[in-house]
Amino acid sequence: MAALRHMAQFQKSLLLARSAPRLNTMIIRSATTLNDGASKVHDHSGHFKFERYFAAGMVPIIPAAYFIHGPVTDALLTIALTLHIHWGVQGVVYDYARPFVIGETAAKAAHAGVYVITVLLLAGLLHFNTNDVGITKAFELVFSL
Amino acid sequence: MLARSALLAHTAEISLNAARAASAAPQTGKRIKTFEIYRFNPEAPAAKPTVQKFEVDLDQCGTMILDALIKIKNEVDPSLTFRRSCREGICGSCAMNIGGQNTLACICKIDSDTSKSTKIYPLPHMFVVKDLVPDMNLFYAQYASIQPWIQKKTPLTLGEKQMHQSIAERDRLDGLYECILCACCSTSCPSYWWNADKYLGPAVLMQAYRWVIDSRDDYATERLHRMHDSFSAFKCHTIMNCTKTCPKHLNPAKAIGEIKSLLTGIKSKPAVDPAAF
Repeated sequence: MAALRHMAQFQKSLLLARSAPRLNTMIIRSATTLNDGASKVHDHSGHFKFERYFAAGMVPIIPAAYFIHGPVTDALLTIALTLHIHWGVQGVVYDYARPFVIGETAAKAAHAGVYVITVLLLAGLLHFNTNDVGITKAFELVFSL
Repeated sequence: MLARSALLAHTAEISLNAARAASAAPQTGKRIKTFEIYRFNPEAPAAKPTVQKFEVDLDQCGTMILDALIKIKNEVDPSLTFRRSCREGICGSCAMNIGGQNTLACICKIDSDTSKSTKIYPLPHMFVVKDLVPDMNLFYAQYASIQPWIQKKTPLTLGEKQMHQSIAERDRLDGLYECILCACCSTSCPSYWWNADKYLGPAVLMQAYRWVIDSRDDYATERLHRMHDSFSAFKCHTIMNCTKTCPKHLNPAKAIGEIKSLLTGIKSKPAVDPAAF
């Protein structure tokens, strides 16, 4: 009899426990921790996309320059090569000229150096196009050797 | 054909044994394999890393590199330090550089060619705590930074109901969730070697993609915007070392490609399947 009463008591406490608010499982989750400002950085995706389309656009220019020689092709090649080389060199410099390895100042100088290289390249090519034979003609002369 | 080649092999073995018996010097017949293992003890004064050679009889040892390491630790040098746990390629503890390839020691077979030694180094470009134990703190901090758990925009009472997915939605997680975070891929990536502080690395990016593409997560855009700078994801140069080295045969390079597609808007996350749940 005592055992039976004990059993009923146990069942009652079990039912009570089930209907009572489950303190440790009633967690309502709606807030996010992703809005901590980590996304407020410079968006590089547009630049990345443009760079890929630009590289794809260069694919017809190089073979076309083999056949079509003249100032227009020279100008097109100058712009295309300068931008493409600028981004390429920038990628290499950011990979290898790191502040961790060469120090903060040297890294800054190297990053600025990318623009120096680009400006020199652009100036050199423009000078060659205006005051000399031009890129396409120069290659024609090299090939005719 | 098979039987014939087996017979040939048998004949070759007999003649080899005959040659052995004939030679004057007593042949031990043991298959002794040399392991060259990177050693570094930070507690020794003016500690410099060295490479130490160990010789193991392959007939007295299990088939995997981890068996050899445990044998060396038990029988030759108890100070040899390495991480190991599950011994079956599911915990990712014993990731190390074996013969120039990042892999798990427990699922990497010992090269039975005893004329060549096998070189064992810690994961490349990681700070070494001791011997083959690299410092994983940065890797784990980066993993934490992507917040690898489900985040919902609607209030959610835990334990109230299940969050269903369609079969197609669940399929998208295959090849992503199996990652054991052993860091073999990240530490094989030159881009991660050079810019570990700013580039997340293949392992973490693949897990970021796993949470971006999960149909139950509501914060894909926010997750993507956290890594749209020029380093976090875009420093991937598609070198593919990650996919080549992955001991679980996953494809982190593809996941990074998908992230780039999502970031540039070439692809977008598929809408939640309204399959009446």
